[in-house]
Amino acid sequence: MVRLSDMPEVEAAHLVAKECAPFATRPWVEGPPLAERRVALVTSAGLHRVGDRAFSTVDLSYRVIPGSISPNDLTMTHSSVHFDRTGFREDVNVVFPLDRLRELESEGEIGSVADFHYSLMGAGWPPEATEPTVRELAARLREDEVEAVCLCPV
Amino acid sequence: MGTVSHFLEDEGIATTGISLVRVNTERMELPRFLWVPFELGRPFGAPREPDFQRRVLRSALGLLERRDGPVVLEDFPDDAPAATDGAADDGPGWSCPVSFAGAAGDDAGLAGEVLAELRRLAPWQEVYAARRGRSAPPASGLSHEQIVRGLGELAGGANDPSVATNLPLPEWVRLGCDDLRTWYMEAAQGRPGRATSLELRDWFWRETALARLIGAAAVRLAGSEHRALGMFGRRAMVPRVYMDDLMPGVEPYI
Repeated sequence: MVRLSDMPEVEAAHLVAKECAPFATRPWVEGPPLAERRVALVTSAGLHRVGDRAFSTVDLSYRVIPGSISPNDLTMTHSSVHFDRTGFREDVNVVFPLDRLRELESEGEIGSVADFHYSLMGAGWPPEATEPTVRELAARLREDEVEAVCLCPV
Repeated sequence: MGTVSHFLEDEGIATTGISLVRVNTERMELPRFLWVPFELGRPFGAPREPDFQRRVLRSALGLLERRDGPVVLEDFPDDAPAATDGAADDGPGWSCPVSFAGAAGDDAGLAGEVLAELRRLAPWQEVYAARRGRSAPPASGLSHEQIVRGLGELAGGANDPSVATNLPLPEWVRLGCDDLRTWYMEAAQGRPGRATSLELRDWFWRETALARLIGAAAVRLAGSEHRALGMFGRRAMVPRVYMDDLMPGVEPYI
């Protein structure tokens, strides 16, 4: 259990100091029932396939994670030293729940799992820096006929 | 993730997501987020807890059925299962992996201490790797000894350590430190008993020679006249909470 009030003061102060202004608009997209939707995961944990380019310290690019990948073929090169990684090393699903998503598909709770998922390295970028990458991701997601994205921070 | 949520929705793609810092998500007024009271680095609760992970994921995905936007922020009601990682036995509590007392071997100084530490930890890392059937893949492309010697040169005041890599200095330092830290954690988790993530983190940053070496190199970089290197030393090598001990006199980046 970790809440801001349980964290060391210096860590909590850093998190609360982040710029988090609301946007000028508040888009809201609805869709068919969840059991009919095609779902992708997008993580900001700096994950990628073993052998892909590592994320660099300042990096706004993304990596593609095939839906067929074995979670054990994923690694993490996020630049932050401020969060736990031992959980990820034990079980990728604690960060990137692809196995859980497949289970929900097989149980009929979602329509299908996307062919491709995506990884960024979240590092408190201002919105205008991230926007081009996200709009490009949107195009890739549409190609895959994705109707819902689950955002997984770290 | 708030920015990703906003622009994907703006592109016509529905989103839901996990919030780890509730106050920030609330301030951004975003479409659908599920706040979870879990440790940073564990947005779906705990490793090897598939039922719990599925509950969290199902709760987040369930927000996609909501029709009362454009701002939805729900709270997940439960804490994560007890965070004990590592060994699968139910024996006595986890303890410090090895005694670090003793001679550093032929190599003098802090780098020598770290090389000796690596040798002492190796059997436990091997236990971990055998149990798991694998070890985390290194990302730096460097051997442990190359990384340690490079950090030692940095800590000793060298501006351009002689490390055989094409990576820029901050990249080999960051990836090299990640490789070593991951390997140390594997060694710690190879020990009998169970350790919480906080115990593992405290052990690494408070008790190992490697943490002192990383801190010493970070202090040098933090004092660099190159702004980017200075910032890297201040914010990217040692967790803020351990800076007082490992980087005395250097202000954390907030």
